[in-house]
Amino acid sequence: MKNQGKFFKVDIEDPCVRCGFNCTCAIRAVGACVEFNGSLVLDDVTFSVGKGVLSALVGPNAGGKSTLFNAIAGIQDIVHGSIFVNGLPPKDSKGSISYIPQRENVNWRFSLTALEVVDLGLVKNNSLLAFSRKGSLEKVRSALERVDMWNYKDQLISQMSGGQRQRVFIARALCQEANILLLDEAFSGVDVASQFGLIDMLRELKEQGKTIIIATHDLNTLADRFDEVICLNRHVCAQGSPDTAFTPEVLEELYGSHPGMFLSHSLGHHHD
Amino acid sequence: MINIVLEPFQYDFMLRALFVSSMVGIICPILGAYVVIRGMGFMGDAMAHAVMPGIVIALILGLSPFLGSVPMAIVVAVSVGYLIHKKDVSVDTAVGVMFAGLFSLGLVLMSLVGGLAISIEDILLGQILGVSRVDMLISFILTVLVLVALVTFHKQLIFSGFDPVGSVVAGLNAGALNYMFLILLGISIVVTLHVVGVVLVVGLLITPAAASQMVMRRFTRAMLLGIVFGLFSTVVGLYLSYYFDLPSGPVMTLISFAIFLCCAVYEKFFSQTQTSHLM
Repeated sequence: MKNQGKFFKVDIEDPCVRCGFNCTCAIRAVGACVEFNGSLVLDDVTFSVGKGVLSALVGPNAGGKSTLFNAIAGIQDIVHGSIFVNGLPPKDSKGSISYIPQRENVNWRFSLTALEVVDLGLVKNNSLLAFSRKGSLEKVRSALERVDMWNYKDQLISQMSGGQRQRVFIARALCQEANILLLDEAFSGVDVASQFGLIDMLRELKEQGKTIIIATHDLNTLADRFDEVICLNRHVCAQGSPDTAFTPEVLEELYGSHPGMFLSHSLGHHHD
Repeated sequence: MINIVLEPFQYDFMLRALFVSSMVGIICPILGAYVVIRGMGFMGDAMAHAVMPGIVIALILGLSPFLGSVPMAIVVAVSVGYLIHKKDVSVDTAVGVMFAGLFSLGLVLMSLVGGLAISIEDILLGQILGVSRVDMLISFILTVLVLVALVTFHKQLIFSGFDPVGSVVAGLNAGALNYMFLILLGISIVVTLHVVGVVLVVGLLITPAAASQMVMRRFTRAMLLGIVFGLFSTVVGLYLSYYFDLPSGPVMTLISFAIFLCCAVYEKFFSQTQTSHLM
């Protein structure tokens, strides 16, 4: 890797931080930078996520989590550095990623049932698929059953709880047959009991080979359910297992002068 | 009773009016369903006004108004799509500025040339009884075109409207879908202009769709009910305007407004449907 001033010039030959030159990671970012209006929202972001790993992308609001997701998904250009998804540039790997949006980014005025939302996972740019129903219902049914939501198939998603909505979106992702799932603020508006249910379900999916990253500004009591955490505040402050990544220095870098609250929330010592 | 139903249609112009009104009654609620849910009512109104120069230029050249308004609608739709994409200024501001400018251009052109085949009132309030056979044929072709496109891309449009980011990540071309939707909206508005005029287009576009979404929970079913409301408004409106010698555009719009009020009452007192977002 050649250092060219502030930024790095990176290509596919650069070694992965996790597995060196023979990289088999699902996602690899090397020195990735994203710029909005002249200021860096992501600055020299370097990390990698192995296949079949459940990760949490943790950081403060406006720390660049959604931007990083967009860059991984190929809908946000990076100005420097590289990102590879399954060894390919993001724009060449469409279809291998499914994105589950934060609730603010969904137009809930569309009165769609759970069945209809999951069915959208079968929609591709090829419009003729809209008429191809053979096998579709079976796929939708299978996806809804895997997230325990088949009994709610005719219920409007706008009238569901936060946890149920997430399950329906995950079922849609399963229909898309993507091997990487990006969940943006998946625990926002989800009660604690449902959060545990969700994370257990996601762990089952990762055991089946899915690579899953959940962006969240606060892990609460869930940290130990993840294989690893990536701490992001415009750049990657730390990556590793939950019990080693959250050092006081890292928490200070993530949350400024009030890291104590997060520390006691995140490592199984939840405040009353 | 049968005489009441059939009498107006001994005249060719009434048959043509019925045909075009029915096209509008079908097409408006379908497009309107998306317009209401995406909160684009103002854009529909603006686009109706902005095609005015196209209508006037076609009339100056002695052509069917369609031949001027359709290209104009496509130009306006693409411009609006570009403004939405650029996001340098707020969409409402950009669309508002464009709508006022182009509508004024149409009025000034009309005033400068003078002596056109139709009056400003015809453009503003519609001239359904003046629809020619060519207009009828063009309306039919445009309506079929819009319906085929909407049926073909129904799910893609829902996906990109419901979850814009997720749909792009899934591989949908959201930009192309948005441009396509705006062009279809522009074409539908042009067809509707002949029936209710520039001022009332937005009434037929959004009112039946909004009414149906009040009483029907699911999006696609609401769209189908909207077609029933739209057809009822335009066809019954045409009859009432014939028998009571009333302007057809305002009568059609009034009927759809009455349906909306009935749906609002039903929703308030009899329905479990949560539709507060429409009010």
